[in-house]
Amino acid sequence: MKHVLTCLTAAFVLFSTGLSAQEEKTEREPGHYNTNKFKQLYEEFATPNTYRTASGAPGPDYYQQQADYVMDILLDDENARIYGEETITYTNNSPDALEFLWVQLDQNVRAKDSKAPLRNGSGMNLAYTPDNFTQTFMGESFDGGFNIEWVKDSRGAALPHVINFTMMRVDLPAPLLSGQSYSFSIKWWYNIPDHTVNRARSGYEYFPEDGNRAYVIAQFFPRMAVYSDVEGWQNHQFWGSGEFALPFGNYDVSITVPEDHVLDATGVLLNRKQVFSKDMMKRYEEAQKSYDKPVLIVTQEEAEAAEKSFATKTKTWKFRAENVRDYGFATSRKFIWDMMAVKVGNRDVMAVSLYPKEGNPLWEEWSTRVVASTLKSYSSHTFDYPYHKAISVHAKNQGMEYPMICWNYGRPNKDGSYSDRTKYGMMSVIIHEVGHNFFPMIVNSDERQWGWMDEGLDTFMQYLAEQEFGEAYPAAIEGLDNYPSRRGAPSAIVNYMAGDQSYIAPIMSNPENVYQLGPNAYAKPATALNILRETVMGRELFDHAFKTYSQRWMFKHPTPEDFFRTMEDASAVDLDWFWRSWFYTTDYVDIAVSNVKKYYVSDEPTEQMKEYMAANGLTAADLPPLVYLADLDAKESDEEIKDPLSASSTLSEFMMDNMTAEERAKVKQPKYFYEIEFEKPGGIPMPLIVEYTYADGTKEEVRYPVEIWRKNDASVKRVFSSDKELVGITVDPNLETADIDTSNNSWPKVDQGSEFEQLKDQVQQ
Amino acid sequence: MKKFLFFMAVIMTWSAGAYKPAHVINHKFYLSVTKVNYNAEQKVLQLVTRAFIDDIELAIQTRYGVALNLDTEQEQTSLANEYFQRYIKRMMGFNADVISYSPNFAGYTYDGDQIVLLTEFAGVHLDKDSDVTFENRLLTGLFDEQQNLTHFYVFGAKKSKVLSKEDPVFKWDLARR
Repeated sequence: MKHVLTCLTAAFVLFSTGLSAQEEKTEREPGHYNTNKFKQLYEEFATPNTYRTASGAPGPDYYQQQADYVMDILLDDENARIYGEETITYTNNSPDALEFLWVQLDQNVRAKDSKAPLRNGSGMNLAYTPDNFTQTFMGESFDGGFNIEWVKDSRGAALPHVINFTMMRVDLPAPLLSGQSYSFSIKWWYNIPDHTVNRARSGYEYFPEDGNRAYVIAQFFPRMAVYSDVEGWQNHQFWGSGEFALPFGNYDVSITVPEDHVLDATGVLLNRKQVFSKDMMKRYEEAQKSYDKPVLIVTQEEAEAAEKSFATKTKTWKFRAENVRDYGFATSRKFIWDMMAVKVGNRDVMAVSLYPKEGNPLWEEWSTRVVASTLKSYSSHTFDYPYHKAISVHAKNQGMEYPMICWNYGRPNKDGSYSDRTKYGMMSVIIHEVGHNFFPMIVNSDERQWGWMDEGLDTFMQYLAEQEFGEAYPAAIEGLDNYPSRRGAPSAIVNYMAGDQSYIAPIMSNPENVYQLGPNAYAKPATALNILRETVMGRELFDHAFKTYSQRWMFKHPTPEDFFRTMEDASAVDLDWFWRSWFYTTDYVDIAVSNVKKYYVSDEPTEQMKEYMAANGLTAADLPPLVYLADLDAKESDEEIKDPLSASSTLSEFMMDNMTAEERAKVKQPKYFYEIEFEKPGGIPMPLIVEYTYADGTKEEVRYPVEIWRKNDASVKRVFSSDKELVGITVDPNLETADIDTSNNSWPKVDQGSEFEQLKDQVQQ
Repeated sequence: MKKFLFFMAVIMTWSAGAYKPAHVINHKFYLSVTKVNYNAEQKVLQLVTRAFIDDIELAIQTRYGVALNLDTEQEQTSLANEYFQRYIKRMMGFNADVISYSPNFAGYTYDGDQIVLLTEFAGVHLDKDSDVTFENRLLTGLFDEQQNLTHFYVFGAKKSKVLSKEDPVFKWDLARR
């Protein structure tokens, strides 16, 4: 019997390799490098070392520098100017000796002589309005940027320093050796920009009705640059798009503002009793026990009264922040202030909001609740939020993040009405910016080099947090089944991925060098991670790996490879193919069903088989007993298809000889046999998700692993058998993969009509 | 055509700079996508344009002083259609072999935070060697950085270009497709 089986196998192998094998080739093709999409990313990834391991975790020699600050800040409200003096203590934990220190002067992007506005090409218009013309050609540019008064060492001696645009080199008298600390001081001032005019990430908004300003202040002090094992000194200037790279440290900050201002900032407020009234203290104590709704610390009535006071006396607010990478504060006499407590793990965190009356009634209703819900959602997917508070500040057109504090847009109309879009826009931006506490404020990636590492991860988490917020507060999404998230769904990225290739950059690009930062650094990585979670890895494996990454790099500085490697390390899913296609290229997903051949079982050799036999000089007598599959479309008789056992005596004899009655009773008897060809016009390999529809109306989904493409990137065939007739095949039936062309996803081909016609039908309905 | 271009430039630049929301920060980018498809059977050019709802709302508000309240309960479809017709007529132009065609607005729908605008140019006769010019100034008067990505599909070929305030015109000599 063994002999027969071997023969059978041999014959089938011969036959299925086809006739073409006999054609002779005259020319030899040249060889090639390994261009397989599943090749490991050895060329793209940095070599693992003792700082960063191959598993994606910090290595035994991992280090990071520390920068501690003691600052005195004075706000001159009348002239919209800020004065500061700081002492920086810089600790060199690297093994290297440093001859100089680099300090970042990000405000200089707004200096009169800033090169930032000159970095983009521009064309001449045919005509200008007078307003536009004066602004473009005749205007005085804003006199921003740091005015550095002095840089001194700890004994008061001047330190030599050189300013190069947004960075300042401080030359040390002797190299700072490994393990040593160095203290030096800087005094500065600058004119605060109107953030509503200049798109600044910080500044003030002026309210002409009452003559007040609301300040959201950040990048306001000379900050240490990062020195690390991957970049050395960070030396990419701040041009405006690539955000920040900052070391961790402790901050002692005193901020002096008019005494009628309400202020909150990064860090623990040390002199609460001095700056709070008795009423405020009482309300604060109440807020610390309120887990279900915010408690007002400053009411709208009080804020409106303060709008008229214009105090000339000042008050100093003192804060201490530990283990933060940056510092920000917001201050105004217009601010209403509310707080509530939220349980994160076994700790209480305060969710806080600051907003002028212009934010109401939207802000008093939702801001603090959104903050609370966001802290819970993100904590459950990463680590327990380690700080004691998170503040959401209302600022027109802003959406910007700092440790423990962020600015958010969402302003109702003057009459207090607001659209759903304003409401969901406000909730989404608060979720996003509060979420930035996790990425990059705690998982401290280098934003200057990699926008996606914080924006992409945060936008991905934002989608989960939005959905969870909708579940926690059904009243917030009244009339909807779930929260209307903008980004995350695979279909939402299709238009971008299908766009003009000359205007798309890979995700692994510097934020300054991409064409469309929104889809590039936010939507595409977020969608890729969502697809990874839902379709490629599954929630359980993904969530564990994502949490592992967050916890490994909490309060540290990860690189892209640390993320990629950890996701594989903690899940045992080789994802090099996924990172390569989604992150390192501008490839897109397009998978099609191209060809379906139908077969039935027969006792007679088919025409093709006969040709094959003739060509090889074989007769029926030379062959062992075989089961033949005949082309159903070439079938001439109307005779109904029989099941394989009735159709093939060879098969039934074989079974009688080799199987027990019990075994025979268990065999499946498929009647219909198909050879289905799938094509992949798109560059990205993805799991092949196929829905088979049968004549009786039932459907079955088969998910072939992505590895199906590993030996042929262009097309693949599958044989499929069933006891039911197949009437339809759909690739990616639930639109999970961001397939950019679904017109080739069906067999038989469904005429979808043009997109225009379909949409026009929708419009007319 | 030149006259048309000049007129457009004048009316579109008046509002530039009036409203500039923070971009990176609130994750805003200025992009619309227009797919232009020539239906040779019906001799019609069919356009599907996707743009941000807020941006279109603001464009109509700034230009005509009318709040359309798009995608809210206060929205009136007939009013929106009327203003979209006016707006599209100003913003889009098509020209083939020296003949100018005028757009007809064919309705709109929503897709997430995007509005989908449908526009037709009817009675368009294109040959395999036609010279076509498509012009799209959508939102360029409002945002200096507006990019209008255009995909043009005709006779099985496709060409794409990003149109902008400085360069709002797409040209294609179909003989060289």
